[in-house]
Amino acid sequence: MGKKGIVWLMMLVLVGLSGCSSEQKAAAPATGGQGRIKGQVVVPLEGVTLFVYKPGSDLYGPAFAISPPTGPDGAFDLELPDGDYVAVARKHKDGTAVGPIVAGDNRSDFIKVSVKGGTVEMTVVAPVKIGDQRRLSGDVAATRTGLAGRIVDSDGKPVEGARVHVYDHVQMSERPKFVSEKTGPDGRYLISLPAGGTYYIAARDKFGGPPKLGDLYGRYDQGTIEPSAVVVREGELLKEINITVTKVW
Amino acid sequence: MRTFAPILVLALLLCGCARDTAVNLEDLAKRARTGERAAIVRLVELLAAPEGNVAEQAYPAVVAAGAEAVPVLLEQVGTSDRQQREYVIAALGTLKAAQAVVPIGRVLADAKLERRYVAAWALGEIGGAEVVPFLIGALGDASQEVRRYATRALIKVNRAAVGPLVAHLGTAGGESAAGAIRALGDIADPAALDVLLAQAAGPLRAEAFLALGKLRDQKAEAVLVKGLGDSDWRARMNAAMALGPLGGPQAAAALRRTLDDEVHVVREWSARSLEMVSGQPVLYKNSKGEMVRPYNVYH
Repeated sequence: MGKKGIVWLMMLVLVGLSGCSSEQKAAAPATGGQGRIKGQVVVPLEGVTLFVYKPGSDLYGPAFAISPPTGPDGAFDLELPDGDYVAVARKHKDGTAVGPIVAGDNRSDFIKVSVKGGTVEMTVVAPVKIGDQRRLSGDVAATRTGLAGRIVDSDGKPVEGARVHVYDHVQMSERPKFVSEKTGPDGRYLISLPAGGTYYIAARDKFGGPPKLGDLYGRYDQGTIEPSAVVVREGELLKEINITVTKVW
Repeated sequence: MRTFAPILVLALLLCGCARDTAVNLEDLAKRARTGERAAIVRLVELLAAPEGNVAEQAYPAVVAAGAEAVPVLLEQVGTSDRQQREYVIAALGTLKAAQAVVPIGRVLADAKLERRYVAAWALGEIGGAEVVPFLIGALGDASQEVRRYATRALIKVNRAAVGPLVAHLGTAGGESAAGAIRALGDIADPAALDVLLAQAAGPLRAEAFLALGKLRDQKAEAVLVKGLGDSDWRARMNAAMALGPLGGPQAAAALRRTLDDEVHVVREWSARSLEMVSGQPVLYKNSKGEMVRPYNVYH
């Protein structure tokens, strides 16, 4: 068997595998309601997802409704119950459905929309984002102030590849102030903070974007609506700030 | 060729297996949506599948089957497979299956079982007075995750939980009482005021201070002002936090005094709450000795 034969064999296997993966794609969940929003994303046309939130909710958290990615004509069509919403279009340049919007990705402004029966027509522009304000812990100059702990799953086992998100406001909306590097096999994290203060933290296995069904997510809290404040004193490395992540249902 | 033949056979076998699973899932999901019991049964079985993301793909198909899936799911609530049990209970919660309350409650109470957090979560989704005793029973659970989810579920149940929680606080202690205080604070029903005021003199006073702040009842002002002088800095900090939304002139005077507290975060929260009470900018001394305004944690 020559080199050509090997190449053909590999192609056969790859074709078979790709066929499997395309058939395993999950269908989009059905939606229902009294009205709909439809329209066209004009910049860019294709591969843009419309995220719809309820006013007052975390506009970077789980969306109330998510459209399928737009096709070549940029069209989207989403059924919604009557009510007020905030919509935003996003597209990742790497083709992923989740993750933070970083420089080079597309995102629209937040658009207020009111559905009261019938169809609301929208035209959406999602320009390329320039600049990137997120800060990984590695970007923060090493200080003696910080947080350390372990991220575990619902079985108490360490979670590898998760990140801790640190916020300085209680709603934990918008962009986290600081984000840790990914945890290793022991689930441990260490994040330097530039100053002591009151912080609110969460951990998840995906970086940015709204947590979706099946993602691992957990806040540092005691079950209350608001997260628990983590008080870090200047020069203190607060240890054993452990977070359990569970599936988003 | 001899070297690659086994690899080829293995790869093709793997492909064949994966394709078979994918085709079945798609077909099963379609049939399940029509209410076909055999398809739903197969999908629920697949929730136990350990390989790849089969269970993850089967789960939304089970939920999409709606009420038709509930009887099949109920048969598997007590399964010994922790992964399948987690998915089954999550599905029953998502479908708000009222008939699942008792079996899910049994799982929640069985300390030998893993991943019981999902049972507390599901009861919160189902809601109603019937779930409350199970959730209150879980407030003292050995698992912190179960306690957290039980607290959150009681908050979601809301008013129907207030009476039983108030009664529970009369006899409970430790973690169980702390969870009840947190739940009552977030529900913020005036009926909880007296029992929370009573807790403000005990070992759980720091929790009680926060809860009283959420009730926003000025009857708690004197207790919270007294809390600003507590020997525990966390209790002082919580009292300062709580006074922001409900404080009056008495609170403002006390918060001005704790601007000089020895602990930085007590000074910071005193300033933050004093700004809320007075409507005026307030400076406090930060950990570097600089006079600064507190940043807004509520934006």
